[in-house]
Amino acid sequence: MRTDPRVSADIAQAAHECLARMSHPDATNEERRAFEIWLAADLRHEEAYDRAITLWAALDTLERGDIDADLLEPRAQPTLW
Amino acid sequence: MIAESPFPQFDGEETTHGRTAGTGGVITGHHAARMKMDDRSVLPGRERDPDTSFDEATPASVSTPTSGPKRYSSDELEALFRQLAPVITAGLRRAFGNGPPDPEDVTQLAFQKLLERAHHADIRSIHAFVWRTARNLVLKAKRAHRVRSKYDFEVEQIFFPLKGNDQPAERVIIAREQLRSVNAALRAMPETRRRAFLLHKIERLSIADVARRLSIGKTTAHKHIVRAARDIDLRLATQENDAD
Repeated sequence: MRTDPRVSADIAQAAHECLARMSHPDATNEERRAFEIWLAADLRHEEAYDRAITLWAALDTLERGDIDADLLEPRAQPTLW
Repeated sequence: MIAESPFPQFDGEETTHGRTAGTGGVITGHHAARMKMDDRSVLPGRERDPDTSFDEATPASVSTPTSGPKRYSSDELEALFRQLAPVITAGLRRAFGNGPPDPEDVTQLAFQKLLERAHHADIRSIHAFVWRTARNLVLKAKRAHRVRSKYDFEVEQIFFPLKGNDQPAERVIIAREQLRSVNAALRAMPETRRRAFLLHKIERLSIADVARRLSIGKTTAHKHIVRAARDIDLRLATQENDAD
């Protein structure tokens, strides 16, 4: 099944924003309620949210060697830090 | 529009961190919703740097996690269980109702699977792992009624096969493809977004330090990183679709 890629992108964006927001200790109860409503509104929201959680955890395992060299910053000079 | 975030793009709000919770904090609410982003992944062989938190540097006064690869003690795992189990169970109930299978039993079983693992990652990864496992257990039990979602892959299956040395070749190939997608997504995104993401995830800078390095606001830096994750997410989804 193909889904509308625009909608997928919007939902993915929303899911990642929700995750960032909900993971923040300062998130308000109002925001949490808004999030719960958003999550329950559409099964795709929940799927996207699960996916965002999973991906975010997976991205933490990335290391320099995983990234194409030309995309990386030049190594920071140790003396600068 | 239904796809929109319920939040106004967290605009105009500085993402400051007041505190951080260790594994002892009480977590309630939706799965992961209240997980702290402070604890970085701790994988074998990787140094932990408590200053490179997702959001802000953790105040030194708060108990900061210890360095090095982590294996939780049984006490800590019990605390983790007390902390995460209600969240996972509530999530299962919300997603699948009261069973069968019984959500509490499923949560127990998912934690059992965690214990069977040789090592543990950080609490965030553990949450994702346990949730994923619990969800898969329910889906398996309900196989007659439900089709496994194509997004329903486990966190362990992303990139991880490349980090271990006892993975089937097929998994390693898939992981290499995933990494290619990650790099393709990074290559395609605007430079500032890419740099912000890489500084945070690879150079392990805190959001505040990323902002300083790029001479942008913290909120902006945060947004860039979230968008980069979104871009990678979509690129990986495309790859999965192509593989169907």
